[in-house]
Amino acid sequence: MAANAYRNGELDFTDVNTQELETLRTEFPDEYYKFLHPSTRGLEMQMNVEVLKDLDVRLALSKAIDREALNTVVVQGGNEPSTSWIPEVDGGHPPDAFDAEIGFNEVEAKQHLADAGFPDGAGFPNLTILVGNSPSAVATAEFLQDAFKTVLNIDTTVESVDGATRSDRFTNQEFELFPGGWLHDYPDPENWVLGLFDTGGSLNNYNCSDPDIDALVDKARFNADNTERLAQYKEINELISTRVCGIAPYWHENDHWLVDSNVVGMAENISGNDSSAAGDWNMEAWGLAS
Amino acid sequence: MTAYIIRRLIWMVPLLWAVVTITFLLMHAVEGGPFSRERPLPEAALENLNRKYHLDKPVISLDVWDSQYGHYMWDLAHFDLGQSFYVQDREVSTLIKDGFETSLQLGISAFIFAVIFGLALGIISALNHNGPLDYVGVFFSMVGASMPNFILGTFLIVIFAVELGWFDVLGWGGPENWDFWNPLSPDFWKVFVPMNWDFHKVVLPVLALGVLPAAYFARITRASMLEVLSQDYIRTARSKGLSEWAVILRHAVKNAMVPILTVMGPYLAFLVTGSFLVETVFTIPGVGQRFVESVFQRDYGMIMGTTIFYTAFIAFANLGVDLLYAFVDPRIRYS
Repeated sequence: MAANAYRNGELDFTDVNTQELETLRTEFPDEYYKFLHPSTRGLEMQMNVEVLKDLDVRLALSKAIDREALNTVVVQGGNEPSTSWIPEVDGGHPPDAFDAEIGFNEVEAKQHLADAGFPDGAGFPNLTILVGNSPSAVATAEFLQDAFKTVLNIDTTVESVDGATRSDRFTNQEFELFPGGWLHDYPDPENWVLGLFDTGGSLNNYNCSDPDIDALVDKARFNADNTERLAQYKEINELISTRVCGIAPYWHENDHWLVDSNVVGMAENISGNDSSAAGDWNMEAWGLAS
Repeated sequence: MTAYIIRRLIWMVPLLWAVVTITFLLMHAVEGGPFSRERPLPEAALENLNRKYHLDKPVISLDVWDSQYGHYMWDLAHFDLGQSFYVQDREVSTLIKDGFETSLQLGISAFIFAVIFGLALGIISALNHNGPLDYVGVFFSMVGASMPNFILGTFLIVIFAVELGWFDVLGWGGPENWDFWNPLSPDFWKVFVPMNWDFHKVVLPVLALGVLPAAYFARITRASMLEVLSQDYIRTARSKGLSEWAVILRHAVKNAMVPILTVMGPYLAFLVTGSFLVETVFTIPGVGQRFVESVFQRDYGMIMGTTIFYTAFIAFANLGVDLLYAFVDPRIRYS
């Protein structure tokens, strides 16, 4: 609806629904802007479920996901495929940093599943993918379902529910597989870790519990040496990502905007620390040329 | 007649009680709550909110006054619909009043369009029975009655707003702060001043909402007119030398109106309360859009408030229609 209002001249500035991204990008090539949204999405896995306690199973699921194809099919190439949990701008790794360890690889995915005791998917229990009811959420779940069947020969069930139910199930840890993620509150790697991946963390609903991660969190949490602290969080990011500890990251999100050429005074602040608008564009200074 | 009206009003009490109880229990049976978040609220904040809205009590219990249901019914008995769980600094009654102002403008506008267009089309069809104009009218009636308003709305937006640029896509163009409860206020009369309307924003949602009832009115008018036109008194009127217009307007249309009026009342209530989807498609801040949002947000206060409001509105509208029958058709008497 916002896109139609933009076409119609009722709006001078609007965000773009990724379902319409390709059309609008082509239609308004000079008015389209893209910025990295400080968030990561991935396939969250409930590690209290017996089969998902096995690292080989988690690696098999992660390596069965073709992140490039997922990005193309579901959001028309709108996001940045990634195997790193923490975005590089917030002190993490480049998006392709862990492609070799958890990225798409059909052969290795099959091997990991066989190593876990489920050769060619035989005997693997049916897991449920819990998603919201937006078109892109359902498309993501169906893509994953198809990938797991095609690559691993395992069956999964997609359960689509409304937002409140999805949130309730997530916080009550009533899920097996859950496309979800994190949007940073402030640009520091600790915001991507504390409470999320330490054992018993208040937001650790997937029950990631790794002694190496806990030990590093204890060191980094109150470390006054900033250089060392950042290095420790980087190490934690590597452990979270490569051990698929509760989540297999699949992309960093982007913000997409259409801005009419009549709008003046916009200057992006490179901190990119504003999650509600593209960058910190100092909205107070905006105006219309005519 | 007075006894009948009093009896109908008394009957509304158990009706409202049943609707409130069923809605309350169904609403709480659905998973998720008003404060469900993927990133949950801090525990202390959640406890405070639950206490404030009585969500720390059981939904219903033997000690009914110490349950959520009991608290709600007690407040309702004092005409207090409570606060919204989502827009937390606003009363539900205020949100409904604000939204209803817009929904009422939209519903009445669509109703006026439907009556004028539907009656005209039905009469023209009947007067040109089995002619080209009749087929056009019947075709419109079939298409209009078959097409859901949200699909029609989308087509209208693409063609008339995006492609032709004649109309706007977003919002509502009726006068704001319409004091529809108080005819003595100057703000009551502002809706009757064309200058106060932005027709660029009004035309498309009114068409989207009004086409279906217009098609229905056209079908009923056509059928009713065809029946009346074949009556002996029409032939008598013509044989007495009355002009064709006088025959049609004074004898045919007037007598054909009774069955049309019987459906108009319920349709007015339907248009005022049934614009959820059109309001959502055109981003109109009416009470229907608020109701849809409140369901997704589990805004218990708004869900209950809008349900009660709609129930009471439809009950009163039906009562009004029943009373109107007695005036239109002298054979109807209530006792």
